[in-house]
Amino acid sequence: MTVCNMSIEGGAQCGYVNPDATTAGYLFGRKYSPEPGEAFAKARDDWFSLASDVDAEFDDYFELKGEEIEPMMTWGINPGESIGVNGKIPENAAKEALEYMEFAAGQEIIGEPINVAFIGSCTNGRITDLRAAADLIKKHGLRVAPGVKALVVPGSEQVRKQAIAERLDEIFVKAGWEFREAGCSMCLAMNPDKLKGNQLCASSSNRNFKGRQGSPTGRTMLMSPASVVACATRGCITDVREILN
Amino acid sequence: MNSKESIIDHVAGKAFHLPGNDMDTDRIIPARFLKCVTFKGLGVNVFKDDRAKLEGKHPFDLPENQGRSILVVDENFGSGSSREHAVPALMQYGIKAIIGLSFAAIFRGNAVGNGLVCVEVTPKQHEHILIMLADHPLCDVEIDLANMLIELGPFIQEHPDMTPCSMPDSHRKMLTTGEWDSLATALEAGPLIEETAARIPYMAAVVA
Repeated sequence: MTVCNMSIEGGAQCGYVNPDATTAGYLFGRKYSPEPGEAFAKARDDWFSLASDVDAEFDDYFELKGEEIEPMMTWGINPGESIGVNGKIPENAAKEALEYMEFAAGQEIIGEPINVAFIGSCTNGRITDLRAAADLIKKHGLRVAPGVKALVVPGSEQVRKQAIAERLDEIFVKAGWEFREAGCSMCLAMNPDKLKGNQLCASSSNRNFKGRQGSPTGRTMLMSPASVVACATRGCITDVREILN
Repeated sequence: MNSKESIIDHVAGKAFHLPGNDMDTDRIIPARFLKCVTFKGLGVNVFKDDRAKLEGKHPFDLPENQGRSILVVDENFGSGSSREHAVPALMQYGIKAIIGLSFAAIFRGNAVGNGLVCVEVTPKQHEHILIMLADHPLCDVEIDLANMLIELGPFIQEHPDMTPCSMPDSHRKMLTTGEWDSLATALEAGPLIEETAARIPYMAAVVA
């Protein structure tokens, strides 16, 4: 979902992952899936028929090694304006983006104080995201830094119920997070969850356009849920690996 | 109502420039205005936050641009979230066509679906049009979709200044045949509509 959603910001018409055993395994036994047995097998064969043929030709191949990617964050006003957490904002950064974000070309982002931390959105509000965040908080005894407003908003009602069943909500609340009803929340601020003024938000959502989080001058830095936890804990932009090690 | 009445083979009006690349749909129409059930009333909020910040100096607010219906933009116009609302917001403001260096694909698809003309020009042609508009801000501009030309003027000896432009063939066909108007096209099917509806389980009750 994260890859598919963000492909569009990379200029793609469509972001797609071939259905495979993982897909079938996820759908097996779920509420709206065909009944396990013949019906499921038939549906699975149908889904698998959609996958690219083994001899399909592609224009290009890229191989990315997840473990080699530094935690990435946006510094600007579109998802492409991003760097590794320990990197510096490019010298040739767009002036409009720098002005809006109140950053300077060539500066580091690490240590930049944040006001709000948001874990949620369709892109990064799955049960696996909530588990990863809760696990990090529990294992390392993390608490939200004073002055930081921290929200966890499950991506769907199903995710919320599952999180409560696993008692993840208790972990979040004990650590100073608000555990909220499912929905879009601060991904696009159509409800009252909004930034105020030029607040800076560490956000696991997927878009960082001007005004996206409800304040016309609000500033968004997109990052993974684990990075949001790290930033909420220290109250500033943080490399989550410092906490892990 | 039929698709012939929806044919768009040219757009004529006065033009103005909105400078800036990557104008995303959140800027065109901020999310808080998306709660409408219909698209009515989006026009007054187009570029709401950008306009508020510039206090009357935004191109959409400049007195000389009022009533102008052709917008000249830069690169990657309409990027970001796939909110259709961005197109009606621009149209309700009065924009009938957009000339740009490039458009985000989803925005451009939504534009065709609403009958908003988006044509692309090369950087050289773009620069030429901007220079012409700077010199003659009130000149007539016509986008001719039959010949894919942007005509400015007439200036010298009654001849307009011509600049070629482009759009995907499928979009041009939809606009120039009126097929972009999916409702009008569907209505042309006449009695077939009810026949089909009667075959669809969840529609049968409605038709009966």
